[in-house]
Parts: sequence; structure tokens; C-alpha cells
Amino acid sequence: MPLEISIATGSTVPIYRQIGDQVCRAVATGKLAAGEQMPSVRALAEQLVINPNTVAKTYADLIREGILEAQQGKGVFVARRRAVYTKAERLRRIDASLEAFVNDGVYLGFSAEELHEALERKLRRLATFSEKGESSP
Amino acid sequence: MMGLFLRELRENLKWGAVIFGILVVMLVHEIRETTPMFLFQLSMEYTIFFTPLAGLLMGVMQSLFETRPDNWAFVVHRPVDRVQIFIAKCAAGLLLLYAALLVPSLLACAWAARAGNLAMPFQGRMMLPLLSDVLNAGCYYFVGIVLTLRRARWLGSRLMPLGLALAASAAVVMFAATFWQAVVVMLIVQSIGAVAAWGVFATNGAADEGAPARFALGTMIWPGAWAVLMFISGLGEMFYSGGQWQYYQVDRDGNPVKATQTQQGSEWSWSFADMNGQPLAKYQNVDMNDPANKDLFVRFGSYVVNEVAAPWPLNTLYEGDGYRSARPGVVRLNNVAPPGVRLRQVAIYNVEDRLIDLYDPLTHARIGTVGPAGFATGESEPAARFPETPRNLSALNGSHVLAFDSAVYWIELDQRRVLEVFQGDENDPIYSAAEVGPPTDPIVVIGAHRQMHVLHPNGKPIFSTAMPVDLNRSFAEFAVLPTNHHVVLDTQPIPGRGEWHRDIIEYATDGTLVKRTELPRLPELRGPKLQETTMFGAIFPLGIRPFLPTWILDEVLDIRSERFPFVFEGFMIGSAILCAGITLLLAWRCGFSVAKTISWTIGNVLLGPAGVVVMVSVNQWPPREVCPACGGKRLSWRLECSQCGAALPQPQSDGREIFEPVDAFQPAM
Amino acid sequence: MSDYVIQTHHLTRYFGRKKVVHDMNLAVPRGSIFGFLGRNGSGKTTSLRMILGLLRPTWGSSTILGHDSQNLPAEVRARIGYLAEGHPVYGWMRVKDAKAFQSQFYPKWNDELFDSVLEFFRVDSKNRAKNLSRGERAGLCLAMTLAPEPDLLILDDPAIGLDPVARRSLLESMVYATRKADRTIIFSSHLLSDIERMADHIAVLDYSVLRAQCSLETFRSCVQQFVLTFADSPPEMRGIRGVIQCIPRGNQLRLTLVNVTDETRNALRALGAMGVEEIPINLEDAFVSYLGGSLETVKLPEKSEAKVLAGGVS
Repeated sequence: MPLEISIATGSTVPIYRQIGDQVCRAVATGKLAAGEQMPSVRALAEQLVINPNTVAKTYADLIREGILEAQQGKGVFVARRRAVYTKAERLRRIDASLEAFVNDGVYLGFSAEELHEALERKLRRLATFSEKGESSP
Repeated sequence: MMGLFLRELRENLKWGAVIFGILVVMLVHEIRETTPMFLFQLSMEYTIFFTPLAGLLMGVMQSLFETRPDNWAFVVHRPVDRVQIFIAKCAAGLLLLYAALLVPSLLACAWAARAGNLAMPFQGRMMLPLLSDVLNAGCYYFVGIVLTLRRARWLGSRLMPLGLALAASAAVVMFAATFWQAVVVMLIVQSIGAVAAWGVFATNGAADEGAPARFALGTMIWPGAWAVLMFISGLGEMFYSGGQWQYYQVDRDGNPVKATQTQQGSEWSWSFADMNGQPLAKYQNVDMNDPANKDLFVRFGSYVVNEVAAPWPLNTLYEGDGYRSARPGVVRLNNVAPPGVRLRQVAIYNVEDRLIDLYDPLTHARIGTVGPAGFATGESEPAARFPETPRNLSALNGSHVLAFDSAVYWIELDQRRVLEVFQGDENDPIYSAAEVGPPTDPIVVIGAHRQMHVLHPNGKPIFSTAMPVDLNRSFAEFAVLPTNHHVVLDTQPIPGRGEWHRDIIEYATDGTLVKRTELPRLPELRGPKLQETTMFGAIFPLGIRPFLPTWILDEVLDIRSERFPFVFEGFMIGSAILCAGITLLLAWRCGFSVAKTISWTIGNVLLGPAGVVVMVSVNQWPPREVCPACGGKRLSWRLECSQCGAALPQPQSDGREIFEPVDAFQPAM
Repeated sequence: MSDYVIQTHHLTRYFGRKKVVHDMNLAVPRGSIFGFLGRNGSGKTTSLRMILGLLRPTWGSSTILGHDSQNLPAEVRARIGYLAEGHPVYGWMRVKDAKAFQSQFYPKWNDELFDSVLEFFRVDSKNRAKNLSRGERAGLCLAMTLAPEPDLLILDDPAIGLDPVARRSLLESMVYATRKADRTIIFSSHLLSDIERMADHIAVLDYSVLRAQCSLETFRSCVQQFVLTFADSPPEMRGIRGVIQCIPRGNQLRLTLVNVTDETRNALRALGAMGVEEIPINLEDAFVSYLGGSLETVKLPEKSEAKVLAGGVS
């Protein structure tokens, strides 16, 4: 199953992070199975019409984060063994996301209950997605 | 390089075709005019103007693409030496230009050379004016490139490089005696043009690099600047509304009369006085512009002079001795039968063949030749030819008289013969001869080294007397008094050949000297000539003056530097000093080095105001800005402040700078 | 071999009175895709021409592929592909003539590459250059520039006048061109989306002065946007270094800053805002703010006027 990545220019998110996020999401939702081969840097650059260095940087970042792994002379693959961040790193990451979520929520005038509810709804949907993803193949 | 050459050739073929086409149209038009002087007419009426335009067209069209810097960059950014690109371009342009001009020109020559096409013998030298015109196109080709590519402040300064080519054309047409002189002049101009064009091409129009290129550009501009200055000084005359001139006339009785002509606005008036200054009542209020008064005074017409003695440039300027003129080779005889008799032939004096050729005006076939021994029909060999080149070549076309060293002939082509009217003495060679007096009753005046002979056209002598002037230094104009048939001679020096003198000499019909009046030199009155002399003095380059005899200056520019020496020389020297001052000022302002300042100053003392124009044209005008170190005005183009020597400040940081990695952007000083 | 394909030292050029490039010290790393940014007339083309030895600097010097720009030997020029602004071609040439003409100068010529670039742009090789559309002409130019397989590719505003499809073909060709290892591409553009896609390094020229030269990421991270909320109308914004744009909106101030340091943060805090919040900014906005002018050089609208403006926006 080919990986569908789309990028948008003019976004506040840099292209390398857009790719990284999409790959992460695909891995998280199971669209990309462990051990699956990623397109080569050149192929992805030519497909997306972007600087190959950007793709290389994304792959390097993802490899460092343990989401992908490089096999010498073969290419880049989705990591079989999910690397685990340190506790501190995980906290820092979730904190940054929560910060944005809470700020936006307050700014948009939602109450604490409404925000709780929205978060739970989101979590429920993610759960159903992963069930489907696991049952589909 | 071959590829570049072929590309240019292919690209500009259409302009070659356009030039070729226009020239062919001109040629056909001129052929249909069927004038015997075809090749000379073609040059005079068409090619002399057309070939420079063709050269300009080719030069302009070939470089139009490169006026856009990006296109130019596309042309020169390739792994080929820039000079090779330029050479390939010029080689193609010149080849097309010369081919497009030369092929029709040679066709015209071939047509003219074919017997029966023209009522005119064909001589190789007749091709020279056309060939010279073709070569001249090359001078303008480079001008075209310079005009198109060079960036200039305004149209006038853009056009100024035309100057050298125009000056050279004028020199070639008016002054060059031989074809080879013309070729040398044009090759020099083309070389200068090529160097300047290279400088302009190599820098994409900035023309600010390379001493040779800038020198060549300056050389091209200098005559142009001079021409512009001459034009501007000529404009001054438009506001000049009056003047007074004096000259001599000879009345019907042979007495010299001093005439004073006055112009006030559009009003003209004349007054006349005798040699003692007494006003002559009988000529009061005479209007000399009235045709009824044209015979009030004796009209001198024919002159006798040793034509060979006329110095350059008079011979080419006035006498048609140059290679562009038909006269040294052929003279069309227009006045070779008695009055009233129409000649049904075209008569040509052929200098090369030493014969008079007769042509049928309709079929253009040669009827025959007339020589000293009489008529020889068609192509048959005549019994005798004339001894050498006629002595009166410059007046031959309107005269019955044919003068040689050893003999003088009276032409009677209605009889298809020439009469020998006088035989020269070996010890007293004939200089010239002329036909004088009314056409119905002419006489022949023969000027030899020592003797002057006056005789009837049938050879019957009237009188002989000692020649009163040296025909190597002076010329003598002749007239016959209507009242008593006395012969009057008015003699003046040939310019540049003798001291000033003016004599009116009158002989009775038996040869006795009636009177000889030496005329004093007339003063040059207040008039435009003084003004012109002043103006030309002010713009004339000091450096050329020593090489130019005063009489040539006066003759060519038609001014009176000899009569007003202090005016001309004074203004010239004054303007040279002024130019030196201006040059110093400009050099200081432009921040020239000492050596450069000195050489420009010396140069402009010698080159005059036109040199200052050149200086401004070939040097970029440097802007100034306030020096942050000393507060004075520094030249923007200098790294160091011209006032305090502080280095140019680096751009001020405003806190926005984002540099990484730092070390890459701090190059070792 | 130097790590930089281009280096300039105090490169400066005047055109008459006008200072077009002022003391530029530029270094282009080998193998990068280098975006050259700046407003119209800020000296991009002039710098490139000086670097290519097509224009003499008023002073300063530059090297390209290790050679002095002003004395480039022909064999070095063969290694530099240059696409001049406006896609110049000889109009009368057919596409195949242009290929035959151009190829004779170069020691290397990749016919396959030439044809595939033409294919990207859908150019019919039987056409005359003057009959090509703007995009097709750009394709022809690019093909002529790429076919000699240059080590260094300099594209002066290649996207000028191109429609989105042709522009995409241009970018595809540029990506294609990077297949050769170590090839450096320098291009100038006004299209931030193209810069975002292609460039890994950028240089920013602000009216003759080189203000920034860094990786694209660095540039993005150095330009930040903050919203400051005040209890009542915001105070005058003066004297905070690094502020490049300041838009008052109601009781908020939207600030764009560059090179934020602790000192800057302290200064912002000292303004007494109720809240300071960083909001993400996209490349185009960052760039526009960056070159839109600093507080020192551009006068902000008067307060009342700004309020009207803000009212209109919100």
C-alpha cells in the first residue's frame, strides 16, 4: 500500500515536519506496518517536488526518534521495535501539545467540561481507528 | 567559433538581403537614367549615402539583441573567449555587409564595362568610387554596434561616435587624391571602430574598461563633439542680421571700381567708388540683384593657370583631381561646335586613350574617334593621338580649346576634326589656354611660361606679349571689353602658392599695355566672417594648428584667420587655457590620479573644447556622498574617503542579521 | 577543494549614484540548493552577474568554483550553467537548432537530459523558439542550461512569468537536476512557496545589503511572532532590538521579532502585558515582515489610523 503524503506550502509547519507528522500518524494508525519499506529519499523528493535534503532530514529525524530505521544498503524501513522516549521527553512533548490545546480552548471560549468532553471524544475515535486498522488486513 | 559565425550569418542574412535588394533597386533605377557618367552618378547620388546607412543598419540590427543585459549574458556566458564571440560576430556582419554591397556594385561595373551600354569608354578607375563607398560601409558598421550597445545619458551623446566616421567620409570624398589614400583612411577608421566596438561589447555597453577601447571610443567621439560645437557656433549666425562686404569690379571701360555691399535685415544696397575713393554718381542706387544690371560690369569667365601647380587640397576640393571624380579619366565635351550647331553625338575626351571619343546618343555605340590627324571611324586605329594630358582639363567641358605643352587645338566636332591653332616653343612650354569673349566671336588666350598669345580660333594671331604673371603662383581671369575689344586680365595668387596681390591689366588689340592697376587689399569689414573666425578660433584644437597652413584653414573652413590673426589665435589659445582649467576641475571632481590629471590636461589643451566633451563621455561621472567619518563629501566609487582617507563604512547592522555558520562570512582580510 | 562554490569578499557595485550591492560577503556551500531572496531591485541580479564575471564590481572580489570571477577560464565557464533572467533564446532557432547550437560549445552534453527536460515542459522540438509559450521557452532555456551537466547551476528568477503548471515543471526539473551528486543550485525567486519547497539555504538581500544567510530552518526559527495582550491600549513600541513588525489590534499587539534573545524577552515582559503568547508564523509572513522594514526605517501608521485599520481587520 503506497504511502500517501501531501504537503502544503505556506503553512506554519515546515515541510520536513509535515512529512514527519504524516509518517508518524500513518505509523500510529497502522497504515504503515512495522518493517514496511519507505520510499527512497530521491523518490519521495521527486514525488513531492521538494528538495531531497528536506526528505533526508525528515528521515534522519524519524530514525533518531526510532520511528524508522535505516538498513545499510537496503533503504529505510518502519521500525519494528518502537523506541521509547525517556519519561522526561514524553512529558515535555505532551505538555507542549496540552498547552496549545488548553490555550486555544480558553481563547475560543470553551468551558473546562467541554474541553474534557472533546478530549475524550478524540481518544474514543482514535481507539476505533486502531481497531479497524488492526482488523482490516 | 565557427558555430557562432554561422549563427550570426544565418541570423542576419535577412539584413544582408535587404541591403542587397535596396542597392539593386538603386542600380536599376540609375541604369534606366542611362547617363554616360553612370558609375560616378551611382556613387554620387546613391551609394555615397546608402553604404553608410547600410553599415549602420547591419551594425545596429546585429547588436540589438544584446542591448538587454540578460540576452547579452546568454550570448557571452559560454565556454568561449569573449573576444572570439566578438570576432565571430563582426566577421559574419562584415562578410554579409560587404557581400551585399560588393556583388551589386561589381554587377554595375560589369554592366558599365560592356560596350554599347553607355556612351562612354570604360576605364578601370571608374570602379574606384563605388569600391570606396563599399569599403566605407565598414566604418559605419562598427559605429552601428557602438551606438546600439553603448549606454549613454542622452541621444546626442549616444550619436557622437558617428563623428569619426562622418569626418573620415568627408575627408575621403573631398580631400583624398588617390584611392589608396582613401583605403588607408577607411581602414584606420575601421580599426579604431573595431577596438571601440569590442570595448563596448565586452562590457555590455559600459565601455569603462581597457585603455585601448576607451582611447578608440574617445577618438570616435572627438570629431563628433567638434562637429556639434561647430554646429552650435553656426547657430550664432542665425541671429546675425546684417553685414558689409567690399569687392572690386571692372567697368565696361576697363576701370576698376570698388563696390560696397550692405545688408541690413533683408535689405541689400550697393555703393560704388573709384580707386581714389570718390563715389561714382552714375552707379547710385543700382540694384545688383536686378538681372537688367548683369552687364553693368565686365564679367570674367575663363581663366588660365598651370593646373598642375594647384596644391593639395585645392586640386581635389575644387578641380576634381581626386579618384572620385571622372575628370582625370574622361571629360564630357559640351561645347565643341559653333554656336547654333547641334551635335548629334556624345563627345568624350578620353585621357587614357588621348583621343576624343564620339558616341551615338541612342545606341551608345562608338561612332569613332577624333585625334590630331582627324576622324577615325569605329574601332579603327587612329593615325595619331594627342601628345599628353590636356593642360586645361578643369575647364575642358565648356571650352573649344584643347591645350597641351606643345600645341593648342580648337575643337570643331561638327567637322569631326580639331584645328591646331598654335604650336608651342620648346623653350616656352604652354601652361594653359582658354576661350575668351562672346560665344559668337571668341578669341583664344594662351598662357605660356614667358609669353602670352592672343589669337583667333582659326589660328590667326592677334598679339603676343610677355606673360605679366607667373602662372605657377597666380591665376589670370580674362575678359574682352565690349567697347574696344581690349583684353583685360584680372590676376590673383593661387591660395597657398604666393603672396597676396591683385592686378587688373588691360591690353589693346595690338598688344600694347593700356594700363595696369594694382588693387590694394580690401579691409575685411564688420561682418559674419569676423564672427565665424572668432567662433572657430574658440573651438579649434591648438594641437592641430601647427600642422595646418593658414591658407588651408581659411580655404577649408571659409574663415579669415589670416586677416584676423590675433582674433583666431587669441581665441584658440584662450579656449585652450579655459579647457585646461575645466579639465583640472573635472579631474579633481572625478578623483583622477595625478598622472591621469596631467595627461588629460595636456590632452585637452591640445584637443580643445571637443576634448573636454570626450573626457566627460569616456569617463563615468562619480557620485558623491557624505563621509560618516569626516562629514565631508567623498567620492562614492572610492574605497577610501577622498577627504579623510577613512575606509567606506560597512553596512550598518540593524539587529536583523541572521548568519550561519559565522566563520564562512568573515573572510580573512 | 573549498567547501564553498561561491565566495564573495566585500563585493560592492554602484550604478551611477545608486549603490546596488553593498559590501556583500556571501558563501554558497557546495551541494546546497541556495535560494536568493530580496525585493525587486535589491541587487540579486547584479550580484549574480558580478559573481559570473559578467559585470565588474566597483570594488571587492568574488570567486566561483575556486576561480576569480573576473578571469574565468573557458573550461570553468563550461562547468557553470547560467539561466539569465527572462529566458533569453534566439527566436529564429528551432528547438533542435538551439540544441545543436548550444551543444557544440560544451565538452559534456547530455542529450537524454535535454530531451527529458523538454518533456517536462511539453515542448515540441519542431517549433521555433519565438513561437514557444513563456513556459515552453523557460523549458528550452533550462534544458540548454542543464544539458552540459554543470557542477553549478545559477538560475536568475527562473519562475518569472510562468503559469503554475510550468512552474511545477521547473521545480521538477530542478529536483531532477539534483540527481548529480554535489551539484549546487542557486536560484532567485519571489515565490516563497518555491523557496520553501526547494531551498535548503537562503540569502536575503535588503536593498543592496546582505541581511541574512543561513539555512531555511534557521531563518524560520529566527523570525518569531508574539501576541501581547494589555489591560488597555498597548504602549508605544520603541527601542526593542529585533522588532521588525508591530501591528496594534485593540488591546493587543502583534509583534514580529527576529533573533529573539533573553534580553528581548525581558524587554517584552517589561512592557507590562497581561499575556505574552507566541503564535506560529509561515515562511511568507516571516519573509514579508523581515523585508517589510524595521521600526527604524518604516514609519508606522499613527495610532488613530492604526485603530481604524485594526477595526477594519477584526
